[in-house]
Amino acid sequence: MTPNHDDSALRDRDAILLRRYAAGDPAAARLLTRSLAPRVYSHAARVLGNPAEAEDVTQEAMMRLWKIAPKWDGAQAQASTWLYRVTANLCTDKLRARRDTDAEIPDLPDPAPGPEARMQRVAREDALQDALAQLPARQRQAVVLRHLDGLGNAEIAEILEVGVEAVESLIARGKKALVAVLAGKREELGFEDD
Amino acid sequence: MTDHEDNSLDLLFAAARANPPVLSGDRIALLEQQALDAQPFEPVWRRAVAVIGGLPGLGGLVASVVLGLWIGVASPDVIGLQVDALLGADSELLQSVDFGWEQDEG
Repeated sequence: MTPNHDDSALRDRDAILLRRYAAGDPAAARLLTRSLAPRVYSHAARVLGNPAEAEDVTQEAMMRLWKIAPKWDGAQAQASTWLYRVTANLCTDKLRARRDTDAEIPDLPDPAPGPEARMQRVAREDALQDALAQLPARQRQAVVLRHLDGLGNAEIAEILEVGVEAVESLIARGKKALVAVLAGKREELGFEDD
Repeated sequence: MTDHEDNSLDLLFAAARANPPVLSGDRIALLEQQALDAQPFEPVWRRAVAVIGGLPGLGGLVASVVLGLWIGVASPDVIGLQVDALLGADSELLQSVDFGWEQDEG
């Protein structure tokens, strides 16, 4: 991501809020929590496919942000980028622990059942989540950051601590793998009619 | 990857983006409480300054206190000289004001 005016404004806003947080302003604590925690949770839930683990990761990532707030350097990365990096590392730790213990992954909760279109949407979401779960961790993180969290490749490179070309490669391989996993479900997901 | 496959994947991504996993209100409230618990203590003086309008308010309060002290401590002669200096000793305003002090003193 090339630094631009919006990034700079966000970085300044984050830095101001973190300074106010460190100075004891309770409104800054609430603003930062409400703007950042949902994004952390959403990313963790997509990568882990497990709401309880995603909540744990969100709690831990936010606690780390509060600890670093008094030492926050406004010139460094946006708080959200820093937080995504912490979240990505915590998710990697969880995935490793899961692989070591071979734990079973509960599904994300389904929304309440509804009409046919809603059922198909839920089926598509489930299919994507199941397919994501079959990708290697780094590919999964890169695809989620790019296509679900909507971040640019340069910011993803900063988060995953790799080069932009490596990010492009991870995303391309991840998407190819997703297509392969979903190939047998096209009709079931209603794509033959699209 | 064909265009058709790519489009299907984009549709799946779009659907997922439209329905992100959501933190419950209770969980956000808990995270807010944890943020407040982990927050460094705000000094009492900072809260007091915020109540009176921040630094501008503090500046006005200090100026008022200093002026009030000066008026209370300084002798009336000094204050009179300062008022003369401020308005001009032969100011028409001063000359036109009849305080009635002479009559009070008989």
